[in-house]
Amino acid sequence: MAVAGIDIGHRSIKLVIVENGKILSKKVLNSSEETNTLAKKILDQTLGEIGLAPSHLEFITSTGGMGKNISFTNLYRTVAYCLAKGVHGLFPKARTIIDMGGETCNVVKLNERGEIEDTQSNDKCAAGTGIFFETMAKLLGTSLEDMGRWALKGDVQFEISSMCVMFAEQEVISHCHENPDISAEALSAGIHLSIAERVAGLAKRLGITEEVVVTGGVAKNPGFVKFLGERINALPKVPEDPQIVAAYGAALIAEERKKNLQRDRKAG
Amino acid sequence: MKPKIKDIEINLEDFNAMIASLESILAHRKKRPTTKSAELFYEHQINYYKDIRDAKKNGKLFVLHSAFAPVEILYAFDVIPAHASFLVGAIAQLTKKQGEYMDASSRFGYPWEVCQGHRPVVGGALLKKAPKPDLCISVQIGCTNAASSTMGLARAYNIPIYYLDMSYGGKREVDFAYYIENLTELIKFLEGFTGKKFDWNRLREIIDIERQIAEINLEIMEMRKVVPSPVRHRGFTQQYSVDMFTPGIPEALNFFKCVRDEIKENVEKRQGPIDTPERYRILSILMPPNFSHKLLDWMEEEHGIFSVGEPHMAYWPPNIKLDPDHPLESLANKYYNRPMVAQLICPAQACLIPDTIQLAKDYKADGAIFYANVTCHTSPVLIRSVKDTLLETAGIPTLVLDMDVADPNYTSQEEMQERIETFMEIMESYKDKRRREGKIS
Repeated sequence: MAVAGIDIGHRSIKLVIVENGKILSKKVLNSSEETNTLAKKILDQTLGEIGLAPSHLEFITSTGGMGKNISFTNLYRTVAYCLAKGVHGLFPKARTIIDMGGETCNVVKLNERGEIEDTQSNDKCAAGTGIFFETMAKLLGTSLEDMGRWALKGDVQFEISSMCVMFAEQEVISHCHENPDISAEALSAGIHLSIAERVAGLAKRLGITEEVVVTGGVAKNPGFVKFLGERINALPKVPEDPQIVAAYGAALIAEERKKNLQRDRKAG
Repeated sequence: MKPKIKDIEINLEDFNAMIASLESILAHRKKRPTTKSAELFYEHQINYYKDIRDAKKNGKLFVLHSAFAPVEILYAFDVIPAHASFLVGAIAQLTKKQGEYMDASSRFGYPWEVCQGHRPVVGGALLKKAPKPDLCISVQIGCTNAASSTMGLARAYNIPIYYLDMSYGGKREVDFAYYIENLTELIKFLEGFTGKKFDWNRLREIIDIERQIAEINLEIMEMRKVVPSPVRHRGFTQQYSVDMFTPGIPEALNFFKCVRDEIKENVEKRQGPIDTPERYRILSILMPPNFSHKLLDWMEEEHGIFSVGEPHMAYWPPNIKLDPDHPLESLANKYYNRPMVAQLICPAQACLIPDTIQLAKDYKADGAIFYANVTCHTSPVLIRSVKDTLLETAGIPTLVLDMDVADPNYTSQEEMQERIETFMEIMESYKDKRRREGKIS
């Protein structure tokens, strides 16, 4: 019997189906307002793709900002807890998680057993989140992927002092006016460095302990990860699929619960 | 053209709606009883506001004051006291007009950065939502927002303001002497203002009632060490309100006697105040959001998180000496030692931090929640030292809950719940660690 973890964020739904510790399927889709319906649809579709009936799922754990609103799951756990489980499963030596999703940024400090020691989050402004990078990519007229690659090549010529996305946009435009010859690479590097500075500040409030693992959609941006590493003086690790880590953690929790249920049944 | 502030007429519609709202809560309580003390609390609140509303009709002077004013002296003068932010905040909160009052306050020049606990005071005063006071007393202490809001209030009502100074330094003889001198000056001023001779015997009676309340509080604190916690989470906010805003009156004494007896009953039966079993014992540091006391109920009912100590609020340090034969010395002793004041007038290392550590140990706390009011100008500086010391000395984690004490738009109840749920995981891992180390069973 399989289990599933669903992470329902503000901007995307992440699903992981696991059986005996092995990932059978994983999926990331942009979410709409109807999260409950969409999540169910994605789950059924994915099960169909791997040839499983819904009844084959023994336990489902949900997480994420919108994860509480899901009617068909068995359990809800917080994002920090699921991240801790997921990261500890993938990187047992990890002590610091920096998770940057669409609209939030969380830092989680772990102990050697993978338990949470402390957390810090920024859910009040766009700095350090996916939406900030999306806005900046739009401003530069490019894709997120290209902007990240440009950042790796550019020389930092400025830093953005405003972390409010609205003011930051204006500040970037001002830099372009002041220096019309500035390259897209340099602009991109400046943007990435400024955000890395901000996120590093958040992480330093808990203290940086290696290994550091970066998760969430923003972790797919190599430019950002490089600047962040410089700012926190560490070499961050990035999972193969950084967006699904919380969902994977949720699935691991579901596996634990499944085993407990089976044990209880045996005990009568 | 907008009317000038002085031309706006007093409008008690909201004030009366607030009393009606409290009466309906009380009626609900009586219909579906929880505890006798909860009923007494609401009766006490209703009487407090009615006395304010009817002060003029009853030929009494009405004095609005900032936090930590020596209300006992006002009672001894037989004037009606009202805590400015508590009063106007309650009108705004219970009539759901927080936004309207805040906007009025902004128009007067009090921006968002001014503590939201105090901003409605100015807005409410500008809109003339409370009866006109005869005088305002502002205590000069570290809380600059309180001082600033009472100043705005006095200007809005065009009434005199009296500044009572408290020295910064600690609980030294020199501070007590300075405060006693200032209290003597205040009494002289009030004699002139009211045209009455000060009634020292009345003050002695008030101090004697306070002495009894203090003794009851020490009994309560002792009983709260018991596992499971015999007290409801929101109980401490009620106790704090009664104790700080109406000290030394017989109704306050009755309320505390009732609270003590209820706790005693639970202790004797070894039972908690509700059916949910206790899972976590926490310290509550500073004030929980006043827009959502339901958050406290949720913590208890859903997750078995009980507040066992409040180092800033309900806590009575055992060293406070209240002696009716030395009333001004007693007031100095009380106001310089109560933690809510002490944290503003002496270094945290000398009062708040040792008190918090002691409470964490004595009450077997699993964690602490630091209610970090984002617009408070004084308490955030304590966060790091309180958090680190609790972890290093008592081995317990602290959740710093960023929120606005009065405005749900900053952090909603749902967001706070999410953070508290994560904090439960943290408390659990620290509990496991203490178990492994053999520190708890």
